[in-house]
Amino acid sequence: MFTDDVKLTNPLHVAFVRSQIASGEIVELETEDALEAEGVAAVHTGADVADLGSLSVNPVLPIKHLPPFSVLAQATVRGLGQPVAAVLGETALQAADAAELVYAEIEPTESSPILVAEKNWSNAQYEEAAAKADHVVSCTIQHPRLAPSPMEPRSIAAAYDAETDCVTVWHSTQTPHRTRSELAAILGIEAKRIRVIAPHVGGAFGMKASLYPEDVFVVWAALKHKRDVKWTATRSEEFLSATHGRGIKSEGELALSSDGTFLGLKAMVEGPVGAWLPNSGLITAWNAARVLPSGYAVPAQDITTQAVMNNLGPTGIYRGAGRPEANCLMERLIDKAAAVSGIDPVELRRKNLIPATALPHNTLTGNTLDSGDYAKALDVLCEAVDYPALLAEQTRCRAEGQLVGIGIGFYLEPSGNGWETARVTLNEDGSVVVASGSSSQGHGRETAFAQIAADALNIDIDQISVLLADTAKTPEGIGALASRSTAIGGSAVLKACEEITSRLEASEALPITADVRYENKGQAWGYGAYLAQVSICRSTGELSVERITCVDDTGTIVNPKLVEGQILGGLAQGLGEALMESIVYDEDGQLLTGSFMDYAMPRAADIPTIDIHKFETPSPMNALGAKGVGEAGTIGAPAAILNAAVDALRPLGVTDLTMPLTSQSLWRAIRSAEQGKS
Amino acid sequence: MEMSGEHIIPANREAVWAALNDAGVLQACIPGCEEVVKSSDTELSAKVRLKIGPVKARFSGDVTLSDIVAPETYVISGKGNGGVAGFAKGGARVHLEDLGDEGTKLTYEVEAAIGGKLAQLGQRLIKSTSEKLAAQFFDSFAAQFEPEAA
Repeated sequence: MFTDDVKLTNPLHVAFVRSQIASGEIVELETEDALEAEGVAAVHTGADVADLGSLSVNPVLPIKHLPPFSVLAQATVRGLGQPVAAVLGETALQAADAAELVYAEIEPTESSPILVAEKNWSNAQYEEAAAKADHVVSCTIQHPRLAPSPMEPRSIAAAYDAETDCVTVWHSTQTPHRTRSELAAILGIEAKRIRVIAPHVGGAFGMKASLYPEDVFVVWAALKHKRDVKWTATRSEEFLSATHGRGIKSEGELALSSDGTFLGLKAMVEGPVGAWLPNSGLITAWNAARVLPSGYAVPAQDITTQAVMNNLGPTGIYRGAGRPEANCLMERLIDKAAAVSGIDPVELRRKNLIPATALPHNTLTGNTLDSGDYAKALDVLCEAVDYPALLAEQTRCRAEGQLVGIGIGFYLEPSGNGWETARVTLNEDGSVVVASGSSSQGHGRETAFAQIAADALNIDIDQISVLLADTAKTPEGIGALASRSTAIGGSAVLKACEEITSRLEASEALPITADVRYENKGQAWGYGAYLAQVSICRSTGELSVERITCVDDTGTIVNPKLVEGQILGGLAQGLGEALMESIVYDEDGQLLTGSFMDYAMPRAADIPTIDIHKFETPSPMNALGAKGVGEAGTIGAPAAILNAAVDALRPLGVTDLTMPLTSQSLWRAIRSAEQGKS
Repeated sequence: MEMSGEHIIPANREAVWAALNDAGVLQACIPGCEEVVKSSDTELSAKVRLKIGPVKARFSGDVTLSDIVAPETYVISGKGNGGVAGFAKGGARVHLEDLGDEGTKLTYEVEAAIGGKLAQLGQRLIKSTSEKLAAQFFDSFAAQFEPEAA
């Protein structure tokens, strides 16, 4: 069951009236006609919700200016698509019809970008390193802005209980416990009056890790009107007002000596944020900088990141959330360094990767790279693809005039830090109930948690039932984000099962319930190396991905099938970024990609043959030894594909390309390179 | 969006100029126009029903005439609000050249911008739709001056 399927009692349906301009002052807001329309119970504007609180923002970067969180726009509109009024109707269609009758006159105002947060990490050695370097290569990458586009759009349903004056909220979210605590804080009510259930979530990808103004409005309206209320976004509303991902611009310089030793890295990252910040609104700009310089030893570093507010749609975490951006910058710089130094790209990487013996390694950007053998990922990759044979084939194809490229993308994937909970009960009949504070976006979490419990308790998996994502039935927890759930949530399940085993050994009578709040020692860093082989048609610019080979060390694997599913799904989204997806606004800030007619999503037929290899180095940071894998494909694939595309056009003199690598952009690159030569 | 064009109108320049300032003629010629009300020599309001791609809406807006050099040229500009369908705003510089017996050459340059759902869903169709609407307008406008069918 999905949230939109929840049957409420005589619910009111919400339709939002949204700003059609990016920045302005509300000079007139007429709601009388809408209020008189058939089936309309109420029309609300900013004044009605002016006293509500703000959403909390994870301050991973020092905040200079926190944009206000408005459930409905107050006097000022700061973003395209921002809700300015809400209509409550007896049916969804009546609400939508009445919303058309609301007249909003918004006087456009000029606006300039505002610096929201900024951080620099520097050991003040970069300029010196660059001065003595034999080569300094530079690169600018503008990542396309992406619409996460889960199959199920945002949806929330609130059931009001008159007897207790409480609400039960079904919410399509990755973080039901956070929904509850944030709702309580923003609405100024006790959390015990709110029960949150996340039924099946039809995909989330980070886009559903935070409360939205629309969500808050629905629950506020249920309590205000003492009725059930529901809202499900249309696909158009998702393009316009759900958080977008990427959009990061990163510029970098890599200094190296003639033998290929990396001497220094300078990077400047700029991440866009919208009119309001979701909980994880600063994570992307933070990750895009602090994951630098990936798994490489680079003595001198000067890394800066900024989150800058503009008037386009809101942005937030999207599968990868800064990890693809950091890794992509590093991998592009290395390929450029390989080109100028004449050193093979694989060899150059191997030479500079932090050796296994040097792990754990503390980075300048505040991370501890915990475990693994980074160069081994390259070794396994080269063996899997027969790298020398691949290069020989490329030479042969190039001699025939074909545009063929090979691209490598080494990556690091940090998974989340902190705690998660588990409550495991072993009943007298031998059955086991695992209740976790984590949740699922459709990962198969229930299967993985049941496996962990079955192994730890040495019982049949069919004896185990798993409860997730209901604040009334599970211990308080964090949720499914930052590739943290198996590593931390799974470790909590393991610890709870171990406690049950030892209490059983101490002859305690059944039923036994173990409540565990497990905190990891630190982030577990997954890593891997991807190789993409592409060919580009000289006359049309059309790119074909001939093959992708993945090598991932995801630590201890609980369920190989689920891990493979994560890699494949992530890879499809990574391929989407590399080849086709892009949100576009015009110069007035109007959204031009408001439907799947204009926003290209990869389909099954676009996905090439994918060859997946793995090895396991258990992480010492959590009880299971697991590392994150949910984002691996979105990180490794774009870097490898982009490098392969540039490599394919290298004989023409092309040194840079911008994603998405559409046939149009490649055709232009080929034409301008050929004209430049003649 | 920018668009320009020229048409030969089979009438003398004064007659064409008068028609361009006649609310009744404009209402008859603008495709989908339900109403044109002239509140002064330079101010009009209009209601137009339009379909652009998947977006169907009734636009209402105010129109202003400026830079008037009778009977040669004016700038007609305005903003139409189509509710949730979005908005359109822009202007056209219209110029009339006297061709003697051949009639009058009307040239125009349009600059327009759209917003809201129109931009999100109709952007790729806006140019072709606008060109089609302009062609319809001038066909109807030229027909105003044709002698009754013989």
